[in-house]
Formats: sequence, C-alpha cells, structure tokens
Amino acid sequence: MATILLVDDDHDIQRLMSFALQRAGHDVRVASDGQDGLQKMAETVPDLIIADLMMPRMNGYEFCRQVRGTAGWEQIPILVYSARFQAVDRQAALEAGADDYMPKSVTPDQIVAKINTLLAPTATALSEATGRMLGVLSLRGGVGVTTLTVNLAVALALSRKMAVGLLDLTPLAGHAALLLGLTGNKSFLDAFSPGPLGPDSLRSCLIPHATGVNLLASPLTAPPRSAPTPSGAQFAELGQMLRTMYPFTLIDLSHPLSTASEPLFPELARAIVVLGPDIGSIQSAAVTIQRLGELGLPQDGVLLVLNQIFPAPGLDPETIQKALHRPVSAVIPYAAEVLAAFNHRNPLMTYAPKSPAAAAIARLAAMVTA
Amino acid sequence: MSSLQPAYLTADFFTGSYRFSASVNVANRRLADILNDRLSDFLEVRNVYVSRINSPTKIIITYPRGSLIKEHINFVVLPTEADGLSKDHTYPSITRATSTAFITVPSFEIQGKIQIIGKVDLKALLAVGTQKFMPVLQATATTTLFPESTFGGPVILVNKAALEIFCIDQT
Repeated sequence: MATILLVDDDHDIQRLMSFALQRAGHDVRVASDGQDGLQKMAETVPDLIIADLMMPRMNGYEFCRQVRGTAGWEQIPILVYSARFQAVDRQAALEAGADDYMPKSVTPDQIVAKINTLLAPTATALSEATGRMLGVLSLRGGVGVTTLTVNLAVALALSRKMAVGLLDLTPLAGHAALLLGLTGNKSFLDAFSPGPLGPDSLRSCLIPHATGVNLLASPLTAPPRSAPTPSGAQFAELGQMLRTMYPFTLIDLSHPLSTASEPLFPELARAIVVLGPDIGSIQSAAVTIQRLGELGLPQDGVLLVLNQIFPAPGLDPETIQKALHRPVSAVIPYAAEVLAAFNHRNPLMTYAPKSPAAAAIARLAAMVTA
Repeated sequence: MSSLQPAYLTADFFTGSYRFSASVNVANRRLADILNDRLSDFLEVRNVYVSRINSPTKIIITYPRGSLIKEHINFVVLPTEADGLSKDHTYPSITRATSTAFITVPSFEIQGKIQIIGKVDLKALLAVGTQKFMPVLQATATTTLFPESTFGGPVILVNKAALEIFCIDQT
C-alpha cells in the first residue's frame, strides 16, 4: 500500500480516482490545487503524487516545480494527468519535474496500472537498501563530532546536488538541528511511535534543509520514563530505511558504546573516528577502534580524522599515527569561523565556504564517498 | 469503468492568437452538434485556461467561467473522435471513404483526413448543410510561425468560415 496525494480541482474526478486507488489498496489524500497540495505534503509526505495540470491558484506545472525544488521531495514520483493531452503538454510537464504523463481520456484502471509501475522502483529499493551510511563518532567529548557530521552532510549535498540523510543519534538535545538553523518538534524517537516504523512515519519526522540535507533530529525533551526505549532491531531497521531513501546518510553516533544503536555499526560503509590533538583522544580512539572491530566493522572502514579544535597546536598527526598504528586520513584545521557559524545557526560549509576548514571537510566528503 | 471525462468535455479551442483549454457541458449531446447549433453564436465554457500560441503550455490566466464566440474559433482539438462527429457525420462504415486534406486557417496549418461520400465536390464540402465546423480526422495543426508547436488528436473541428485554403489529394 502506498500513500498517494491526488491533486485535482475536479470533485467528480477526485471521487472517481479516490475510489479506484482505494480499491487498489492505496491510501489516498486529496488536494484541490497546487497550493493545497503543497500544504498537504508538509503534513504527510506521500509515496507518489498524481497531479492535474489545469488547476486554479497554482497549476500543475508550478506545483511540480515547487515539489522538485523542495529538499526531501525530489525523489517522490509525480504522475501528471490532464485534459491537455498534446505532446507539448507532456514535454512541459516532464520538464517541470513530472515522472510521467497521461491524458485524462484514459480510465482510472489505466492510471492505477501506471502508478504501480512508478511505485515499483520504490518497492525494489525497500528490499534492496543501496545507500551508504557514514558514521561519525568519538568517545572523547568536545572534539566536534556533530559539527563535522553536519558539515560533511552539507558538503555532500552541495557537491553532488542530491538529497542526503542526516541522523543525530544523540539521546537528548543534540546540536545538529541548531547547527543547521532548523526547528521542528519531531525526533528519531517519533519515527518509532506511536505506530511501527515505516516510510511514512520516517518521512514525517525528517526536517528538510535548503542544502538538500534531511535531518532526523535528536529529541529536545526526555521521553517519559514509562516510554519504551527503541531496540537495536528498530535502529537497524531505521538504518535500512534511510539507506533506501538516500544515497548517503551521515550519522552522528554520539555515544556509540552505550546505546542500542550498535546494530547500525556493521552496516556502516565508513566509521569516521574524530580526535582532538590531545592524549585523551588517542586513548578514546584506540578503544573505539577495537570496539568497532568487535561489532563487525571491517578495520579498513575506519578513518581517523584529526580536528584541530584549539587555536594552539597540540599533538601532531605523526604522533597520533604512531600511537594508533594507523594513518590519520584528514586534518581539519582550526577555524574561528566554526564558532561564529554555530552562533549564526548556519553550517560552516555555507557560512564560510572558502575557509581552510570548509575546504578540508569538502575533501574529506569526497574521500569518504569515493 | 468509465473514462475520466464526466458530463463536461475538456477541449482545446484555438483562435489566431490563443489556445483556450476549457470544459463544455455536453450532457447528452456531442460537442460538434453544440458548435454547429445555429441557435447560439456563443459557447458557454467553464474552467478556462488561457495560453498564447507562441507559448502554448504556459497558462497565463485562468477563469472559472467564460463564453467563446463561435465565429472566432478557428478550430477545436478534441480528445476522442466520437465527440467531434455530429450525428450527420456518423455514416455507416460501408459508405465511408477518406481523403487526405491540407487546410490553412489564420496562424495554423492543418493536415488530416476528411470523410467523403460519393463524388468529391469541394464546393459542396465547404458549403453544404448547416455545419459550421468540419471534422478532420487524425489531424495535426501546426503553428505557422512556430512550427515546432503542433497540436494533434483523433479529430479537429475546423471552422469553415475561417478557412483560407482547403486542399485534398483527389482529382
């Protein structure tokens, strides 16, 4: 069953199509024009959209353009159907962002058949998660894990011009939303309740950012003591679902050795262990690398990143490499702009994109996704 | 299951400068018969979407109701053949023959097939009976100044009063 948004101003066709789609087992939501459609999408993101072209207030062309221009909605299949059935109309609809086009002279059954075709890739994707998850972590606090995770996600979204998933697994009051200047009242906990985890519940919890990053945030309030804690299996399912939705998902793993999120680790394409230039980071990194191996992550999937979080020099990369017996893959230079960017609720990659730190993060993004 | 077209039929109405996509309440009648109804010079339409012919997919304005002046409609592109044939044109197939036709109206060239019964008589074809609009089957209309823009369909109803030239492939 898919959730389908039907955008059409004709009440007769709304009834006819709703009946046909519901009979085919789909959940149908109806909007009366493009503006209404966008509002409905803000409430519940559908699996597929059927849109008329000729509608008051906002026509179908503009509606398609708005959907395609909204972060997180780029991949939703759009089927345009219209009484305007000329080749130029079809071409204009496809250029506006529609995936397919049908004239209104067809029967609802033909439209249902087309919908099943358009939904098929999604169904395949759900069974074959092809996206890659990149985890960022450190057992030593204050080394900029969240800042690096957020900026890596932004760098990826901007450089590849695609939607990127971002999961802030901090148990309470994580800073990813703050760093992106996003507000929202939903977190990863909401994706698990009240019903089972599903594409709809997950999408409704994602907060889109203008760069193309889609954040599943950390909760801002502690759940009641009586509330069930998400299980490891649920986190694994969450990871699987994010991999079906985005080519890349960045995860701020926060406290990796103390949460139920450990089932995610074997699924990581890369684990980026962040260190500061201090001896405490070396000890934390050594323990982290050992634990990641125990959790099933291949050792060649672990990257060390030295984040120069202090203006004064600390341990140099060579010393760290010698102590950990593995190379430091990237060094993020100290940048005063990081603090300013945070206070402006703007990620460094867009606040100071030409800073040396932003350049180093962009290179790291290219490296970890190569 | 029925098609998505209820009592209202949506069609494309073309003048020399505009494309009007609009719905007509056809109820139990055919659009061809409504257009050919000499008791009314106007055609009541609803949900009117207006485009200029130099940018035929760009909707410049929309209104819920309107009235088209029949004599200024050059041609109408219809989604199904049945809607474009008046009762007078639904001949038994045994007597039906077709001929390729080339027609120009202001700003457009139209090519397609016309139905002919018996001996070809151009004068009779253009003047006969009370039919203001002539059906051209499997037709394509090309915008003269923008030949990349074409509009086709199973039937185009051409206003005989707008014709500039009418050619057929029979001697």
